[in-house]
Amino acid sequence: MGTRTVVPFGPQHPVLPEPIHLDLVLEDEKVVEAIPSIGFVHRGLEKLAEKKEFGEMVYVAERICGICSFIHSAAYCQAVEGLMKVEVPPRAQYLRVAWAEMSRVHSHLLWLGLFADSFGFESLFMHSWRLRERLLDVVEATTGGRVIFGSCKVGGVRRDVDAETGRRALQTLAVLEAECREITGVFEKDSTVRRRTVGVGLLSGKDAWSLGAVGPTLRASGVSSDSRSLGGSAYGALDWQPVVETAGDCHARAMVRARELYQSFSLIRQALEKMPAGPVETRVSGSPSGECIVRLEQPRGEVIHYVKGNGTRHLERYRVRTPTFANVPALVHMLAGYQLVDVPVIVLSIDPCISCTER
Amino acid sequence: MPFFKMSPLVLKNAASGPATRRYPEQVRGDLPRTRGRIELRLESCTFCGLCQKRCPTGAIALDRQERVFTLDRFKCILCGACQDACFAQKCLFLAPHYAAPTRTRQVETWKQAAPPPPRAGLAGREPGRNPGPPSEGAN
Ligand code: SF4
Ligand code: SF4
Repeated sequence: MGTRTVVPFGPQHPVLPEPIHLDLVLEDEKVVEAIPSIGFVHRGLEKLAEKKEFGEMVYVAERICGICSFIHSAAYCQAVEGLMKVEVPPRAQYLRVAWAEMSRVHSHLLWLGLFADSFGFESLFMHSWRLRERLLDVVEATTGGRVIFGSCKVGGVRRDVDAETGRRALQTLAVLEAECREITGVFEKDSTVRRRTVGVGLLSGKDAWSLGAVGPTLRASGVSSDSRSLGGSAYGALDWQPVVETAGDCHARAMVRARELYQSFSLIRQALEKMPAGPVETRVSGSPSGECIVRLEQPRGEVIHYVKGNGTRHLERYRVRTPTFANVPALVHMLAGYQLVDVPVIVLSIDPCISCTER
Repeated sequence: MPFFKMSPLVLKNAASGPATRRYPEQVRGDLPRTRGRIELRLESCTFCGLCQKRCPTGAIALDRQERVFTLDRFKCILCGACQDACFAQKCLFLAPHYAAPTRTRQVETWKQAAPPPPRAGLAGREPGRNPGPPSEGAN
């Protein structure tokens, strides 16, 4: 047995701009154990729900995360709608699907870039982000914001997408989809990428399931679990299947996200084309009371929003379980046994979003 | 050949030039929906206070006596709640161009010279009185 060394990794680290700290216990270059700690950027947003009116809280919920912003606001709205027994108009549900999928494409493109960056493939990183910029323009044209969509409200959505805007968005997305094939081909086949990712960070389906992994981390280990299949919003009416890979390594996790890009493009297309005419919001009156729990699929996995109302204009309790929180145990498990040089690749492969985990 | 997956893309990018714009000379232009900044048509403002009440960040401050409207652009999160609140007078709206970058706190103050003439639909309503929320629960 060699001597053990503890190398601190994060919260400030060049490959990972997310404030997670890992104490890596090394034996020579091999990781024996990783001890995570979080809590560097806690903002107390859940507590704020007791001060903000439930309608205003949507703006706070949206700002939990800068990437999955829309899905956080949609989950919050769905939870409050559940409390208040509000029926969301079908058009609003389709719009929510379209925007949620746009945010998935934007998140996955961002992640593919960061992932390439983690093993030093800078041109691929830049190219992924170049494509992401085009998507952000579509988001801005349809919602008015680039990352904070600001489009969800309790009872529906705040803005409609007219036929012309929708048509133009679909045109841009069709071009973007073709361009994405160029980079996902690189992720799939390029030998540089494969050498750094195939067989790295193995996680068996059984381990992934018992450690409570969610989202692409779980699906890359062969478990078909996607909370969109619960049929919330308009997902039940659209044609799609969860993307599953079986290898359980970093490459498989990249491929799940790469393939989900096309799934999301298809869902956006279906949602915008099948969207029924009609109003986009229902008037909400009264104050929330009771409890409701909502599960939605974010780009990183399943998010859980829990709300409890007591009949006043403020919620009594608001709780968010973010996907990264669920993936950290799996991450710690994956790290053991790999070289120090693989740590950034493995950490990145769960797509950590620590700021959103700490809320 | 797996080795040369990236090369065509790199060559294409090298030939097509930069994806970024040289900003001050080359401007993308506004998209009509962009939530860029809040603008105010002060002449029709009745100082009813609805926008101030609805603003989630407290960016708006009103002085009814002096008829002074203050907007703290650093607090504003461009949510548009004030625009929705001012549905009757339509004095607040989100313009598609961003506020200019600045180093100091940008608090804008407007002073209204004279109250707006009462509109037909609002006849009988005392200016400066809060008519209450338009619909309960809407944000
Ligand atoms: S809601 Fe409109 S009319 Fe009322 S104070 Fe605000 S800007 Fe003026
Ligand atoms: S846009 Fe939102 S934050 Fe800004 S002044 Fe209006 S209500 Fe306040």
